Parts: sequence; structure tokens; C-alpha cells
Amino acid sequence: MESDSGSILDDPVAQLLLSGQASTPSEAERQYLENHLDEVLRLVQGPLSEDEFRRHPLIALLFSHGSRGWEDSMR
Amino acid sequence: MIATPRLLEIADALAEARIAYLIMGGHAVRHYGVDRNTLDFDFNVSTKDAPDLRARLERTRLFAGQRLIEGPGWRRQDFRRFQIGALPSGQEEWLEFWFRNHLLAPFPEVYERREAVEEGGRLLNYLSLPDLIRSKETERDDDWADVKLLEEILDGRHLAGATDAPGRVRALSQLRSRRGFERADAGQLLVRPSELAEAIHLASHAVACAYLLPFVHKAGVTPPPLPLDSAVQNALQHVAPGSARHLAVVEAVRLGLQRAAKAADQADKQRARKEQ
Repeated sequence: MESDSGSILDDPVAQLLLSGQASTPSEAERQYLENHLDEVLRLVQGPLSEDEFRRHPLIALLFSHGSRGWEDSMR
Repeated sequence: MIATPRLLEIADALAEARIAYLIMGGHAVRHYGVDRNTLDFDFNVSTKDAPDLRARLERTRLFAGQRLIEGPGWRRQDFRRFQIGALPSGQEEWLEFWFRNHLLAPFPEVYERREAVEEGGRLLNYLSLPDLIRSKETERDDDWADVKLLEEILDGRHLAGATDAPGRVRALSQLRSRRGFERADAGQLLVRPSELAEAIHLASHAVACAYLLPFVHKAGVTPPPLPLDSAVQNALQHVAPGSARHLAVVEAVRLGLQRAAKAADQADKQRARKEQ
């Protein structure tokens, strides 16, 4: 999730797809999230500002798979 | 949403056959307000109606003279399906019956909680909204997409009744969706310590507990034992109520519950296959 090399092979979500562990991008993302719930708790208790926390790729992915907020439901 | 004419015909046939039923699946989802085009008609019925179900249906006016074709089944003690027709497009219409479902309480209990609706002079019996949500906690991602929407509708119903203290406590104790949570927060429902204390004592779903706990902590209320693991509970006691961190923990709890529910559904299917 944090790779900036630009190669899809470095993306752990893409790796789940390419290895056949997930059959759709959505399933791969969910698997990735399920395997990183402990990391979510570490970020929650970490030093990031509220804005940095919100923009962290893992947290952004978590919210995109979670219950939609009022603004999301208006889109 | 009103029932489709075909569903009304089938409900009449079940009534004629004296089979008590609860509408579940796509038609129930539709009833609660989520648009669904579905060709299957899914029902929860009692195990006592299972043995002669086909014969009783074939004696009804709707299916008279028609041999219902039973689909292949690998758990006939729990579930049976019959093809009742085909549309001009060639798509098959199926009538599906659950007698036992590991996600639902026995039929008499869920029937007590049914939502009965009058349409066209007859009563249609639907699985209650909480039971319908429970029935969708399967290994299928499509079902979880329905759960998300149905939880918003459930919260909306509870919040519409939050006009006095008991209504507010009831709504808070059952919060399930972020949209419901945001509406409760915007409506200042999460500020009264006595109501928060009552709500957290009544809450039994981990997501509702996760939404409430930071507010309960801020109000100085001691929570009862909660269905949350200690790391999650500790995190929730240190986040600002309503913050991104708070909502992230709620979503982590939700994801953990989904993972456990999918595993339980897979285990149930494996158990049923072994018993074949």
C-alpha cells in the first residue's frame, strides 16, 4: 500500500489478485484489510494528525469498504 | 415498495395451502426499500410443512395441473427449491424454501417477530428487518452489500422513533450504520449521560457498542462488559467521539464481524455437505 515504485507487482492488493487468492479487486482489497486490522489499531493510537490519519492509504481503503457516511450517500 | 403481482399470486397459493410463511431474500429486501429485480421467491417456513410441501402446492389453484420441478439439493432437510415457470426471456422462476437456517432462530420465533403488511386485501408476512439482516450475514459479498443498505434503513426507522427518552435509548442502543450514527450525532442524541448509560447497557451488537463507547467514556459513565476485545475497547476509550479514528475503529470492528460471519457460514455449508 505504501509503495511508490510505480510497479503493480509491488502493490499487495494486486499481488492478492495475481496470485489467485482473490478473484476481484474488491475481494482483494477486503482480504488486505482483514489481514491488517491490527495495523489499523496501531495507526489509531499513533502520532498522525487527524488529516494525515484520514488520508493514510489503509484508512482510506477501510472507509471505502465500510458503512457510507451521509455525504457519501448523497453522491 | 409494493409487492410484485407474481409475489401476491404465490402468497395467495401458500395461504390456500395453509402454509405459514415469511418472505425473505430479494423480495423482502425490496419490501424494506432497496430496489431489487429478482426472479427467485424465497420463503422461511416451518419444518413441519416440509414433508408434503410440493403436494400441497400442486393442489392450489395457481399450480393446479402443474408438476413442480424440484431443483437438485444437497441439504434437503434445510432447503428445497422448485421451478415454477420461465419468463419469455428464458430465465427460470424458482420458489425456494428454507426450513432451517443457521442464521435464523426456529420458525415459530421469527414468525412472532414478522412484519405483516396488508396488500390488495391480503396479509403478506415478511421476515422482520433485524432477522432479514441476520439472514444476509452469509459468505456472499452481494448479501453484505444488502446488509449495508438495510442497516441504514433499520437505523432510519429507529431514529424516526427517537422523539422521547425511551425512543432515543432504543435508537442509540441499536446503531449499526455510519449514516445513522451521523444523524444521531447531528441530532444531539449522544449528549445525555443517563441515556448513554442506558443505551450501552442495552446494546448487544459490537458495532453499536463501538459507536457508543467514546461518548460513554466522555460522559464519565462506566460501561458494562461489552462484546469487544480488549485492544479495541482500549482504543475506543482514547479516541475523540465522532473523529476519524473513532470511525476507523468502528469499521475495523465491522470488518472483523463480517470475517467471522463468513467463516461461520462456510462452516455451516461444510457441515451440511458432510451430513449428505
